[in-house]
Amino acid sequence: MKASQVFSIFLVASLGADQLLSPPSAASREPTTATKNESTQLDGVSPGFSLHVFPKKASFAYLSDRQRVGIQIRTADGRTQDVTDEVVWDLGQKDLVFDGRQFGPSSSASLDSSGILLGKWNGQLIEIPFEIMDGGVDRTLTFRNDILPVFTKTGCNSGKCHGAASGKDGFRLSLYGFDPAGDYFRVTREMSGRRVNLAKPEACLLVNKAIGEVPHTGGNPMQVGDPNYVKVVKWIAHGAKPDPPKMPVPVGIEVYPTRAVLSSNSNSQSMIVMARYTDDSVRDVTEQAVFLSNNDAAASADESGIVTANGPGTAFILARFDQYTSGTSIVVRSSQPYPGLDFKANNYIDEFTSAHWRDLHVLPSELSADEVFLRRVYLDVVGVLPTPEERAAFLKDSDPLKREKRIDELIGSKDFLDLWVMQLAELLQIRRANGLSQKGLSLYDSWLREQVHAGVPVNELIRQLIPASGSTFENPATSYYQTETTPQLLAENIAQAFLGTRIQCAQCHNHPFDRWTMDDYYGFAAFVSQVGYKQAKDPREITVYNLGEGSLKHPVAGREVRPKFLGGDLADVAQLNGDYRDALAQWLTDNNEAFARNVANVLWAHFMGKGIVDPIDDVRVSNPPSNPDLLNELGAKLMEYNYDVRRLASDICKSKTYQLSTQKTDWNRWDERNFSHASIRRLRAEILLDCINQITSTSDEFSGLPLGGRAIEIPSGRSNNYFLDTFGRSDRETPCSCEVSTSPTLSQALHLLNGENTTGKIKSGGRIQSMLDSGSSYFEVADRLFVMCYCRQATTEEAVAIRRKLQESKEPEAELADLFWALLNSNEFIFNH
Amino acid sequence: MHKFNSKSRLPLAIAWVALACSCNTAFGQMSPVAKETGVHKTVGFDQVKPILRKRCQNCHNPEELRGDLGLNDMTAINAGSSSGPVVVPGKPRESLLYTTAAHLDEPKMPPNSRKIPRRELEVLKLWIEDGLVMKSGDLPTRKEPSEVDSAAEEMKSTGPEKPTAGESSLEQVRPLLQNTPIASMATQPNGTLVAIPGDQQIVLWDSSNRQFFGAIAFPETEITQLSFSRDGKTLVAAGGLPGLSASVFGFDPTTAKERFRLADENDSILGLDLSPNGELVALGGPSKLLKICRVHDGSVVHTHRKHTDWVLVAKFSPDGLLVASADRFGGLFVWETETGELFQALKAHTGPVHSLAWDTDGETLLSGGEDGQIRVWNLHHGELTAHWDAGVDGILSLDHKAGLTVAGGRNGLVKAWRAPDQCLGTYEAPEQIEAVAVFENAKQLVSTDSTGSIHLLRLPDLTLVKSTSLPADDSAHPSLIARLERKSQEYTEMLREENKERLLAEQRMLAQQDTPAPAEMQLATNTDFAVSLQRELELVQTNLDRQIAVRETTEQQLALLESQLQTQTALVESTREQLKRLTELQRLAQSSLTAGSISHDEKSRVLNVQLEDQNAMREAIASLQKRALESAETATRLPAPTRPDWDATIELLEQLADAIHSQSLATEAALESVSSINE
Repeated sequence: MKASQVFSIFLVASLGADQLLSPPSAASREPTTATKNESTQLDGVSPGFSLHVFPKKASFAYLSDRQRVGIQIRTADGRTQDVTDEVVWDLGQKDLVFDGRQFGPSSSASLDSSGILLGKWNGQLIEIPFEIMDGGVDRTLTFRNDILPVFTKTGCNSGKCHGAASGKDGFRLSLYGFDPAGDYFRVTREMSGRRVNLAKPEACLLVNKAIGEVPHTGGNPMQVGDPNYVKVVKWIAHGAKPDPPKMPVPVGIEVYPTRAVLSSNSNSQSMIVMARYTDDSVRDVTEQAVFLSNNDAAASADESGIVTANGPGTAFILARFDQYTSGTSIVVRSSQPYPGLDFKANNYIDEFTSAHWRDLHVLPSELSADEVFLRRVYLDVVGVLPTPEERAAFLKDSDPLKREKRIDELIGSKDFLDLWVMQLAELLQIRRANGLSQKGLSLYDSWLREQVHAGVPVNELIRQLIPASGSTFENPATSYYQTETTPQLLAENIAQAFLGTRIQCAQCHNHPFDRWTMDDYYGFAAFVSQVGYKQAKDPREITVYNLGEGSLKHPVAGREVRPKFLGGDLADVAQLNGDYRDALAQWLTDNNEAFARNVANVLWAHFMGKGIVDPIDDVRVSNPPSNPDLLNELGAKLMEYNYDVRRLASDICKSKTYQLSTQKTDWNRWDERNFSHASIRRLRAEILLDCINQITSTSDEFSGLPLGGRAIEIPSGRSNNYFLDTFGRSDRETPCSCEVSTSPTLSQALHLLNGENTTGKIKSGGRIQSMLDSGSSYFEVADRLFVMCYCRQATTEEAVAIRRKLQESKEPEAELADLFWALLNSNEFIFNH
Repeated sequence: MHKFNSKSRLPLAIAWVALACSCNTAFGQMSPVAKETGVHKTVGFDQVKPILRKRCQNCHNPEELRGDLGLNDMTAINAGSSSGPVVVPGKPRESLLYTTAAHLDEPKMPPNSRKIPRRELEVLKLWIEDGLVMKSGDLPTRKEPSEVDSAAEEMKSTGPEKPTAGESSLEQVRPLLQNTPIASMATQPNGTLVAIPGDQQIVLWDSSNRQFFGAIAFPETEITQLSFSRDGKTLVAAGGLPGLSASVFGFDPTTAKERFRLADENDSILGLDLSPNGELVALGGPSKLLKICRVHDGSVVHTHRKHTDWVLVAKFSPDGLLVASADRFGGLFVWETETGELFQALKAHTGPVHSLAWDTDGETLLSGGEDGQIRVWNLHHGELTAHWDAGVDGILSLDHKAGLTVAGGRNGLVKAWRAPDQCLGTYEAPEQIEAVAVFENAKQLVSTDSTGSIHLLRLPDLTLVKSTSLPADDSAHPSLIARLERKSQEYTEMLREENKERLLAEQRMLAQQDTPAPAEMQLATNTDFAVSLQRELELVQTNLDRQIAVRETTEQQLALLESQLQTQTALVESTREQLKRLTELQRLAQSSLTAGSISHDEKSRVLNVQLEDQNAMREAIASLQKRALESAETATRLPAPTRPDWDATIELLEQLADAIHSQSLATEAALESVSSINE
C-alpha cells in the first residue's frame, strides 16, 4: 500500500486518542485501533512494547524554527530502540518541511496556524500536533542565545582555551559563557577594530581565527559554511548589536530520552535537547548543545547528540546548553541472550543490586568461600587479620548463620568504632594547623572518640560540631574553626565532607558541570561568615564565638549575600537572630536526605571499595550514582536507624553483595561500578601497618599514642611515620576522599622489599623463633605463616615447594624468615580481596 | 627528464630518482635546461613565504624559535634547526621542512593539526626541488642569499606592484557595508585633514569644509594605525591581515603617492609613530615587542623586549630623543631613541594603557588607560606629578596640545581640561570613544566612536561642530547573505558526500558479515598461510645461498652441485610463483569480497583454485624434498669444513608439506560449507 493511501485513511480516522499503545498484530497491516493485548513480536524480543513520541507537541515561533523528533520503543524486557528513521512520515502537508529527523514550517506556511505531523511506524499512528506562531520568518540572532552557544559548542570558551581564567593568547571568554555581558564586551569592544569588523563580516579576525585562515593556536574549530560559521558571520553582518534588554533567556533544559537501554553490538539513540526560556517558549537547541559521555567504553555521543553503544556497561550522557546541564542514562547490555538471574537476597541491599543487575543483563560472581569472607570482613570491620585460631573456629562452626554472628561480634567491637573515628577525623580534617597545639589536638581527638564510643549518632555529632562556640580547650569541637578559618574554605569543606559536594568551582564562576552558581557558593559561605575569634588566657587556646555581624559580598555583583542553604532556600534571616551556624547545622542534620545519603555512601565505599557515587565526595549532575535506588534506600535506612552507622554497616556486611567473590564471570567482566563482584583493594596505609605489626608481633611508636597503639588511632593528620606516608595515609589537609591514596608507587615496593617494616620486624618480633620454641616443626611454622598472612592453607603446589626447600636447606630458620618476608611482600597480603 | 611543468609533474618517485642520479652534477645546470624549453617557471620564496607565515611562523619566528628554528626569512631557514638543516636544495624528501609538513617524518607539523592543504605542500616541495630560489622564475643559484638581499627581495616580491604615475592620485571614497568602530584616527599638523581607515583605503576628511577630501588606496586588507608626520606632509599607516601580517606604509596625503614601506610583522601593529625628523618608525603589537625601524631601508635599529603584554601605543617625544611605549598589562617605558637604553620605567597604571601624549617641553608625558586615570609624568625626575580620574571610564585615547588635555573613553564621553581640576567641557557620544586628536591650533578636535561616527568638536568647550560618518551602503548585504547561503549549501553537500561514503563503507562491512563465516575465514587464513609460506621459503633460499657460498670454495663439487642448485632454485622459484599466484588470487577474492559480496559460486570457484594450487605446491615441495635429500647425501661426501647443512632445509620442507596439507584440508572443509549453503 502506498504511503499516500495510508495517510488518507489516517486522516479520515479519528485521531483524538492517545496512540502510545501496543502495535496491532503483525498479520494486520491495516491501521486499526491497537489494544494492549494484541502485541507484535519485535525483532525477536519478547512481546509487548510501548511507543514513545518526543515531543508531545511542537511550537514554532518563527518559520525558520526546526524541531527534532524522536520515536523510541520500549520492549517488555526493558530494551529500547530508536525507530525514528523507520517511521514513514506524511510529507504531503505543504506547510511543513521535514528532513527525516527534524521538521518545521515551510516558507509558505501561514503564520498563526496549527496542524498535526503524521507518521506511521509498524502500523501504528504517530501524531505530533504543532502550532506556528506569528513571530515572523526568521529569528534575529542574539549574542546570548545564538552566538555564545557557538563558543561553547566549538570549545572556544573551554578551560583550556579562551575560557581560562586569564584567557588565551590575549583573548578571554568567560568559562562556558557564564558572563554573557562580559563576553559581548570582549568580542566587540575590548579591542575595537581587532576582533570584529562590521564592514568585513567574513574576513574579520574572529572569523579568520575560527576557520584557521590566520594562525590560531586552537586550530580551526569552525569550517567555512558550517552552521556555526554561518551564524557568527550573519550576526556580524547584522551589526553585532547588543542584545535587546528584554530578551528571553534560558531557564532550563530538557533532555530526551531520559533513558535508553541499548544492545552492545549495534544500537544507537539520538538525543534531543530542548531549552525553556523566561517567556515560557521552548526551542530545540540540540545543535547548540554539548554532549559528553562519562564512560566511552559503554556508550559515546557525537557532537550532534547521537549516542552509540560501544560495549556492555552504563554511561551517563551529559548535555550542556547555556548554564544548564542535564543528561540521559544509557544502559548497554551484552548482545548475548541473557539467561536470567536467580538470586536469593539476604536483605534489601541484595534486592536493589540484583534488580539493577537484571536491568543491565549482568550475572554476579559466586559467593566467596568462608576463609575469603573471614579475611575480608576482619580487615574491613576491625582492620586486623583473623588469627589462625579464629579462622579454625569459624571454619569448624556449622551454624548456617555463622557469618551473621561473626559480623555482629566484629561490628560490636571497639575496633570498628576506632576505624569509624578515623574516617570521621579525615572528614573533619583533625590535624595540627593554624597553631592548633598538641594539647588542643588531643582534646579534639578525644572529644570525637568519646562521642563515637558513647554512641552519639553521626548527625548529632555534626549538629554539635557546626555551631560549636567557646574555648578550644573547654569545647574541643570549636577546633573545627581553628584548623580552617575563612568562610569560603569552611563552606567548601562542609559541603564536601557532609554533603559530598564540591562547590569550589563556583567561587570564581558557575560550576561548568553542575548546577552550582556563584550565588549558591556565597550564599552557603555566608553561614560561616560571622565566626569570631579571640585569644584565651592560655596562649595555646583560642575562643570561637558568634560575632553576630559581618557578611560576605558577591564578587561579581558586589552585593551582600544572604545565607542560603545549598540546593535549598534562603535561610529565614529574621529568625536567625542567633547564630547562622545553628541554622546551618539544623538544616544539615535534621532529616536532610543528602546528608544521610552521603554518610551511607561513605560507609558503602569503605566496605565495597567504591562509592555508589564515586568519588564519594563528588555528587553532581554529571556524576550520577550507579544505583540511585540503592543509595536512596541506604540513606533512608540510616535515618530509620537514627543515624547508627553500626546498624547500616551490619546490613552491608550481611548482604550477599558484600560477600561475593572477586572472581569475575563472563557476565560481569566489564563491570566496575555495579558491585556484581567484590573489588580487589589495597589495604589503606594504617591497616596495612597494623596487620604487619599484628602478625610480626611488633609495634610502632606513634606520636600522641601510648606504645602499642594502633596506626588507625593516630590523632593527627601528620603521622611522622615513613611507612604511613609512603603508603598514602591522609594528612587531612583537605576533606577530599583523594587524600587517602591506595595507588601503588615504586617507593612502596622498595620499602616493603628493603625497609625495616618487613625484614626488621620479622627479626625483632621473633615470631618464627617463638613458634619453634613452642615445639612446632619447620613445616608447621611455614603452614601457620600462610594462615596468618593469607587466612588460607598453602596450596599443594606451594606446600611441596616449601617442604623441598626446607628439607634441602642447611639453615631452615633463615628459609622461614625468607618465606615470611615473601608473604609480606605479596599482593595477596597487601590487598583485601 | 627535467622538463617539469606545473600542471603535470612526474610522479614523485621518478622525480626523486632523477634527482638522485643527477645529484653529483652542478645543481645550477638543471634549470637552464628547463628555462630553455620555456615550460618551467621555478617556484620562489615569494610563493613559499605566505604559507610559512600562515602555517608555521606562530612558533618559528625570530622571537620564539621553537626547536631553534626560525622560518621568517631565508637566513633563518638556511640556519636550520636543532635537528640540523631543514632544507636540502633539490631534495624535498631530505628536507625536514617538507617531510615534517607532509607528515612523512616526526614530528608532524604543524603540531596537533591536520596536514596543511595539498596545494601548499606542493609549493613547498617544488620550491625545494627548484633549488630554493628567491623569486619565482629565478634561476637557482648556489650562492646563499644574504640577509639584505633577501629582505630586499621579499619586499619587492611580497607587495603588489608600486603605483604608477597614473594611479597616484587620490581615489573616491568607497562606501562600507556598514559602519564599524573607528579605532584609529589622525589629524594633520599644519593642515586640516583627518585620516581614518576605510574599505582598503585611507579616507581623508577635510575639517575645513567638512567634506571628504578623497582616499588613498591601501594595499593591505585592514588598517590598524594611522599617524601624520610632524610637518603633516607624510601620512603613516600600518595595516595587514590581523593575526597574520602587518607592514608600515608612508604616503603623501595630497597625492596618495607611496613614500616608503617597511616592517613585516606576524600580527597587527597596534602602536605606531614616526619620529619628528621622519627618519625612524616605532611600532609594536601582540608580539609584545617595541621595534624602532629606519625609514630609508626598513632595518630594525632596536628591538625592546621589556613589555610583558601587547604593546598598545608608542610615541616619540617632540625632540625625538625619547620614545615612550605602553602595554596591555599597564607597563609603561621610556627609551632613549638613539642608544636604545631604557630611560624610565613608569609604574602606576593598573590595566591596559591605551594612550600616550607628550607635552612640547619634551619632558612631560601623559598616559591614560583602562583604569580611567590620566597620569602626568615628569621624565626629568621620573616621577608622577599629577593624576586624576578622567570620568570617562576606561580611557581609550587622550591628546595634549597647547596646555589642553582631552580624553575619551568607554562611557562615550570626551572631556577637556586645562588643569586636573579645571574641566572645560564634556561631549557625549552615543557609544565608546575610540580616538581623540586635537588640531595643532588647539581650536578644534576630532573624536571617533564605536558606531563609526566622526565628531568635529570646538575647543575648549567641546561643542559639536559636525558629526559625520563614512558612507555606508547596505546594498551589498543581500549578496553577502546569498554568499553565506551558498557556502552553507556547499558545506551541507560536502557532509552529505562524506556521509554517503561512510554509509557505503558500512554496507560493505555488513555485506561481509552476512557471508558464511567458514569460507570467509578460510579465505583469510589461506592468505595468512601464503604469507607465512613465503617467509619459510625465504629460509630455504637462505640455505641455498649458503650452498652457493660453499660452491665458491669447493671447486671440485661445482658441476654436481650446480646442477642440483639449478633444479632446486627452479623448484623454489616455481613454488614461489605458485604462492604468488595464490596470494594474488586471494587478494583478488578478498577485494571482491570487500567491494561487495561475491556469490557462493564464485567463492567455491576461488576455493577450488586455491585447493588445486595447494595440491600442486605439495607435489612441488615433495620433489624439492627428494632433491634436498639427494643433495644432503652428496654433501656428506664433501670435505667437512665446506659441507653445507641440509638438515635444516629438509626439516623445513617437511614442515611446509605438513602445513600445506592441513591447509588443504581446511580449504576442503570450507568448500563443503559453501556448497552446502548453495544447496
